[in-house]
Amino acid sequence: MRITLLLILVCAALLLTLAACDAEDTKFVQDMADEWAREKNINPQNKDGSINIGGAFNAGLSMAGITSNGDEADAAVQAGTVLFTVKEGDQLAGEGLDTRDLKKVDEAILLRPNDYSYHNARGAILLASGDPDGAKKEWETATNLAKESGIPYKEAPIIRDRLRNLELAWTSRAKNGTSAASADLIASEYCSSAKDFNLAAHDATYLDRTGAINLPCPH
Amino acid sequence: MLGADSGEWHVNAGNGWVRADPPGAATSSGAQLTARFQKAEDEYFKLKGQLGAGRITHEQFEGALKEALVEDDQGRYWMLGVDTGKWYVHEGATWVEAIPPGMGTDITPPPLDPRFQKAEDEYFKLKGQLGAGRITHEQFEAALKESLVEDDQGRYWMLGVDSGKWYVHEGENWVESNPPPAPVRPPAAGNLPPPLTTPLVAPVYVASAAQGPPPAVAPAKSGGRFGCLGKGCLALIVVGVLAGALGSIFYFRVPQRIGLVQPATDRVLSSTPDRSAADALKTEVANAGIDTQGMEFYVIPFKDRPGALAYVVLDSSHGFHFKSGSSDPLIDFFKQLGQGQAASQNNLTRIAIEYKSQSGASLVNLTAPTDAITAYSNGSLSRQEFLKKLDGQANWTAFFQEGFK
Repeated sequence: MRITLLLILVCAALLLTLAACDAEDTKFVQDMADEWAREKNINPQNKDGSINIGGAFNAGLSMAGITSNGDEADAAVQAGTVLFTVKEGDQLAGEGLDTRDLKKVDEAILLRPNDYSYHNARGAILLASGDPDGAKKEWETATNLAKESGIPYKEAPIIRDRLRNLELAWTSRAKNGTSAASADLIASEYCSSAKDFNLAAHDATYLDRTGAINLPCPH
Repeated sequence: MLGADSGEWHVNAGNGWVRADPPGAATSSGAQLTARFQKAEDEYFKLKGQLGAGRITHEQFEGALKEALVEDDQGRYWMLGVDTGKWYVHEGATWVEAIPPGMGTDITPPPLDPRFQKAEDEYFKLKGQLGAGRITHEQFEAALKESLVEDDQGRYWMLGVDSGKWYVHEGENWVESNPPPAPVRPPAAGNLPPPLTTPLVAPVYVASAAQGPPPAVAPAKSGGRFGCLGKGCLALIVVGVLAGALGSIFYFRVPQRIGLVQPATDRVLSSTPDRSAADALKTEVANAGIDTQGMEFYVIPFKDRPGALAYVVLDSSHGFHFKSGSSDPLIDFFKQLGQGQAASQNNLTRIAIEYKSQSGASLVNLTAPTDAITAYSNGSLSRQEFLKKLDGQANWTAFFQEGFK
């Protein structure tokens, strides 16, 4: 009985401490935001509490995501509106890789059809399931998406993303269900991609990791 | 008789017409005389109204006035000045301005301020039209509302619908009062006795015998029932509404939603985030001893330029807490993210940090270029200068709500 009471008291104290921490954090952030907004004249309130009309107008523009420093800053300020789909898509793709469930990855692709990473994930699952042709097709789709996206095509990021997805598929909970043939396919592809990445980015990080993740490169 | 132009009573004493008061009506026999003067006045204003309305010509008006001569008990003739509306009696060879008997004291006031004069002219014109059945009583009242006069003190004046008297809007009530006179000017030469047929022009002032109630319809007045809508406030309200609409259009990103403008995120950011770079950034932060619980890391390459945006969410609703011991933890985060190895290896050129409250509301979102972060770190930029380099959004409403919690 005493132990239960003690536990309740400890939990209550912990909760109170956490609540106090949150309030302190919020207060700090608000002070910081106030200071910043006054420097930028986008604070609707003056330091003495009076209304700052110019600041209120600028705050309206700021709320609309219109900054004074151009496209890049505007995009950074508005990025939150895009990232929630990234979060949701990544969660679906992560679950798909973890359980080797293509349907989950397909849901992610539906959510973000131009995101080539999900096709790399799909390819990794197909390879781990013993379908190297299907995997190759997906990676081609991923490469084409990257080329068509209007971004100057660079090989290194897409190879790195493929390596990441292969690693996730390999280290997933479904790893035990991987056949020996599929494991060989993954190891082969991983090593080949790691070498390509090293060539493209002069970065041997992934080659060095093969031992650590138990994907020894075939001789 | 009534002067053709002055409308004033004139009397012919044998050697000419002079303006004079008709004989008194206070006597028993004078009651009828007073009634005749009154009738002549009524007729005069009716005719005046018809003249103003163009229903009759000036010649017809003068002709009718001549018919409206009033002869008093002493055989003198009276008439109203054609334009002045004053009474003139014909004394000797001239018309002499006078008060008709039984018609009260001569209340001819000093000349009116032109604004009031104009309103009076309009009133009598309307009155004439009303009397002639050219307009209805409702139309008359409606037209009267349009002839409000604002004086130099911002008070509103109008003529009583029935009485023809001036009322000023004081507080919430209409109070009978005399309007301000016109600025004093030297009298025009010859502005005295009217000639027989065309008495000189003088302002018409009417203190109607009818003691009607104050105007039936209280007109709008500054600060009254309609506030300042009739003046500059309306423009201010319109400007305010337009500004609000414009603000809403931007706030809700209507041009982007309807496809007129491509959102900055679409123009600038790649459609595929760099997850590996984000992982590297997260690992680096964790290796620096920062608890990454409640933190989300995103790296998005820019489309048309080298570099990438690192976007980090600090979500206290998912267990994020600032590391204790820092006096400036948010700025420290900028330094940590912008100056680490992960930033240089992944070419991160801009850092954005979003903080979410325990309820999950986004409180603030700040972004800075990594070169500004570096400059601030090495002392090339002051704190104020660095703050000016920061862009972002603050959710003041959410801050306010958090304050209550």
